[in-house]
Amino acid sequence: MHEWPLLIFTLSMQTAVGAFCFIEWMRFKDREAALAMDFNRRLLGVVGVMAVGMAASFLHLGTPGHAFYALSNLKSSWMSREIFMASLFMGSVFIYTLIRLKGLVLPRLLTAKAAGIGLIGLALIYTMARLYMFSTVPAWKSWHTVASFFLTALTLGPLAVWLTLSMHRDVLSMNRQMNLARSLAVVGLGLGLVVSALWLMGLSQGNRAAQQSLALLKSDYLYAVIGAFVLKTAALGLLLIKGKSRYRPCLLWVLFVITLAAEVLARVLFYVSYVQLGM
Amino acid sequence: MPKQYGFFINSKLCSGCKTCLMACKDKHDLEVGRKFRRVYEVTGGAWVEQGAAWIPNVFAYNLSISCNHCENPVCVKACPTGAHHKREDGIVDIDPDKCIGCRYCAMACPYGAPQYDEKSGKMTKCNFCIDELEAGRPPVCVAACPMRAIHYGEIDTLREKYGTACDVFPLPPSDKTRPNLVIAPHHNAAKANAQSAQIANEEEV
Repeated sequence: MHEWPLLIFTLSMQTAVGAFCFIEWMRFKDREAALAMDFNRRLLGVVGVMAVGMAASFLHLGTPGHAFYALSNLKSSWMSREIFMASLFMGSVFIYTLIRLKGLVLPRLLTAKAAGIGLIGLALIYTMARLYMFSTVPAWKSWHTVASFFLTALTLGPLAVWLTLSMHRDVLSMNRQMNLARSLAVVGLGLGLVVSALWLMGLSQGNRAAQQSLALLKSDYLYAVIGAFVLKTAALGLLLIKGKSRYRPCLLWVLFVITLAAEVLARVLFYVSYVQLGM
Repeated sequence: MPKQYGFFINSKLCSGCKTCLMACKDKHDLEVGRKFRRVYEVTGGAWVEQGAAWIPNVFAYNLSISCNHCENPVCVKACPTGAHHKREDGIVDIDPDKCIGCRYCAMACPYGAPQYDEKSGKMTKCNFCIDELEAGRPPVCVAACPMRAIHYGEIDTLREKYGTACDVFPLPPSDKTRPNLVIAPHHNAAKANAQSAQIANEEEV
């Protein structure tokens, strides 16, 4: 597989969008908690995740020195649009974080700005998905691509924020926020399982190229398919544990690593399923 | 200057000798792996019961394919830099100064035309041997074919002369990209669409 840089880029950016939206939603609902838990410094983490993603995307290029040309074809290229949206989102979050840290603008204005950046993030995920939806690649030209990209953001974003919150000394005051993160991750993982199953079923009923994609997944990547399903189910199981033990950082680390591994495997399966109707 | 160059491939004549491929590799100095022109060996068929006997009902034909310099080139649309462009004579070419080697054009093209050059870190493809055309000579694949199975010229003229067929296995449906390609299909090509044909030299192309 040649697409590891793209895998890191897509997962990082989607996690960043999910985390940003989650942080800002929590801030909107409870400003005091946001102050207590130092949300602004967590935004720096979001910028860091995006920086990793952007750096990885450069590794995919044969001539990274010419990367700035990639914005030249916004008119028709989804890749140009994706790079534009990714740059816009990253730049906006960075400036927003600086303003927050320096306390330069009125909070009410910042709430509107955060909502706008959140929308840019969602648009970024959409452009990321559209980029892969070639009409000659049935495994990618599917609602599964859009759904799975958004579900990754819904799962990994809140989970990553929850993980950092769990290490804070005032963790128990954040029960409500943690429950929200947990609920979002449950929905993300649960729907993710359903969407993946429907995708595989859809391939089995598709044309020649779709059948070839499925045959590839069933032969060379069977263990990865099973692994993705088992890991997502295991993560769901951990999320549904009752009682206070679920807030322990060590358990959350295990949960995050399992979920991340499941998302990586699912994305590997996405990339290797590329089979064109043609040659 | 033609307003749109195109190729005519006579699959009925093609013997699968791959001289076109070798001439192209030689001309463009392509290392192992990169092939601007590829010859697909299509095979298919099975045993069929005839009375008390089982007899083989098999078929095979060859199809030489390069970039089809499409009317609606998906590579040009996909290219984020504008390096992929369609010239006034209809030839789809790459500007190496703009190419960033992102390989998105290769993902988009259903004919496998754009190919990555590891050495330069950029995409490359069939450029219809522009320099040969400028010197008044045909593209090298056309000149080299010992069967005279490849012709080139203004696509309208080729279509007037040879028809408009180009939906032949293993080519994808032509409605999306509208390739500037005319094929004289081998008499077995109809069977390939109806039966489970396959590319016998998958690893080679």
